[in-house]
Amino acid sequence: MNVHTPPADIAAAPAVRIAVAAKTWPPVAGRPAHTVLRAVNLDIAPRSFVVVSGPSGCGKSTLLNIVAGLDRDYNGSIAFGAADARLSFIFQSPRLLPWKTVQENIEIVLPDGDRRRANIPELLSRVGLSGAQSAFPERLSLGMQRRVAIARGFVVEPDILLMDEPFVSLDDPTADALRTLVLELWHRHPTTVLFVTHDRREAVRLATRIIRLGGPDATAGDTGDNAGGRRSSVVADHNVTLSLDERCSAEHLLAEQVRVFGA
Amino acid sequence: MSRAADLASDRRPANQGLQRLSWALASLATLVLIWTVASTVAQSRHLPGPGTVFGLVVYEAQTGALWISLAATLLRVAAAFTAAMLIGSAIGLAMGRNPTADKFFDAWLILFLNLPALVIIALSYVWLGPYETTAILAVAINKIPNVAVQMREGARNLSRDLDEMAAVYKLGWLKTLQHVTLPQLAPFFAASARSGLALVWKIVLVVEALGGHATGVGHKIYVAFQSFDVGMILAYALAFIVVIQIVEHTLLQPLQARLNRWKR
Repeated sequence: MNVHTPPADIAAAPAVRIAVAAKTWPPVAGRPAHTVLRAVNLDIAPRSFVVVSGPSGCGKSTLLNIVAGLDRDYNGSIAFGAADARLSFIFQSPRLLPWKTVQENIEIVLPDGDRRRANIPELLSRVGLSGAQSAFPERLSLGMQRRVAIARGFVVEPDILLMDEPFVSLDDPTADALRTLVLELWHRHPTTVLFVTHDRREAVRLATRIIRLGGPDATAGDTGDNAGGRRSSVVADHNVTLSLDERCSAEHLLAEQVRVFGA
Repeated sequence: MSRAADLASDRRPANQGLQRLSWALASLATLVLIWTVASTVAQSRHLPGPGTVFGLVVYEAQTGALWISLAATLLRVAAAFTAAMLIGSAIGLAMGRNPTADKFFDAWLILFLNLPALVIIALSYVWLGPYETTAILAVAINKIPNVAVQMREGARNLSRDLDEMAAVYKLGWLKTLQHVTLPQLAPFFAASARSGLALVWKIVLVVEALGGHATGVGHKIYVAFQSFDVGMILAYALAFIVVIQIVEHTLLQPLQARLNRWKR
């Protein structure tokens, strides 16, 4: 029964091919134009969980916005494996519609035909929101709002799931519960994930592959049109092969963190 | 589970409304009392007591004159209010979304905001003649700048975050307008509608009096003023205040409460 195995060349085709030659911010209020990303070329394998990490201001979020199609002012191209790839974006803030209930916030992103098919009550119970479906988001805690945003990200069964530091400003236990939740959902609905964070422990906890962005520091004698800019590109690229159990063990995580990021 | 269910309902205690009502009644009763004492002391036909004025309201209602006048004025209020809300919203949104239009028309807006109502009314009648549309236009022009300013504020504060969310999830322009953009503008619309009603009905009365219209509460008050019939002036004023309060409490306040029900 080999029928379902796709030909090797298709299986190897990336879910996303990122080829950003340059992303330059225009001059603002006396600050000169500066290039934030340069020559970022990445092939993202289907169903991989890719974490993009790097110091703040290195252009991680900018890269994610480019992939999402929110930022079209760059040189280069983004190509998806599927012509009509479905995207989800779990943002740094939940970005829920405050005038819609939890259930409506999730339903609204579904194309009209899919609304009946999607099992929203089951999804809500899996993210721990049973009973809150008719609550308005502003009456929920930030952790609960983040759960709604995660449910919304998964409900469309995306081909590409983008996440931009979705667990910042949560206390550790809450953030870690959500990390476990995302891993569980990802195992249940395998999809290609691009996840941005500057938290190294979070990176090794989640990723199957970690890409580090970075570049020449502005202070290191940088002159000319790029003074003040970082000009980030890929400085390291590691695969992470921890099992689910190992991802819950502090020991393994620390060892992996040292391997990927150095001591 | 139960916590989430509690959060979903959340009702205000019912006696809070009752308490507010009793305060309002007590304060109105005090006002009527002061009025009675003042008119008894003054003993002047220029300050009739509450009983006399109430009798006049009943009398005018029985002859039917009250209802005809109220209806004529309410129609003008409705027409001018609708026109002002529509045109003012369109101008406000255009200015809030387009920085060039905003810079250019800002000076015009300030000019119209500061143009006295009397000037707008006088010029409207001089240029357009004593017609019904003149009355409605004159009132609407008085209100349009206020609506425009409030809606511009709303349009300026539209959330880019939510726009991006709508774009990534491919909601399409219609769903985005209906579920993302308009709900953000609704509180500004409701606020300008409430302040608008209060402004519009007062100006409609002035227009009815100055424009020489043969119908309406403003006309009745103008006629009464010519014979210094204070009782009749107060009778019509009170009747109209009651009508506007009914509109406010049965239409505008519930609308605003519904639009804001999601707020913490």
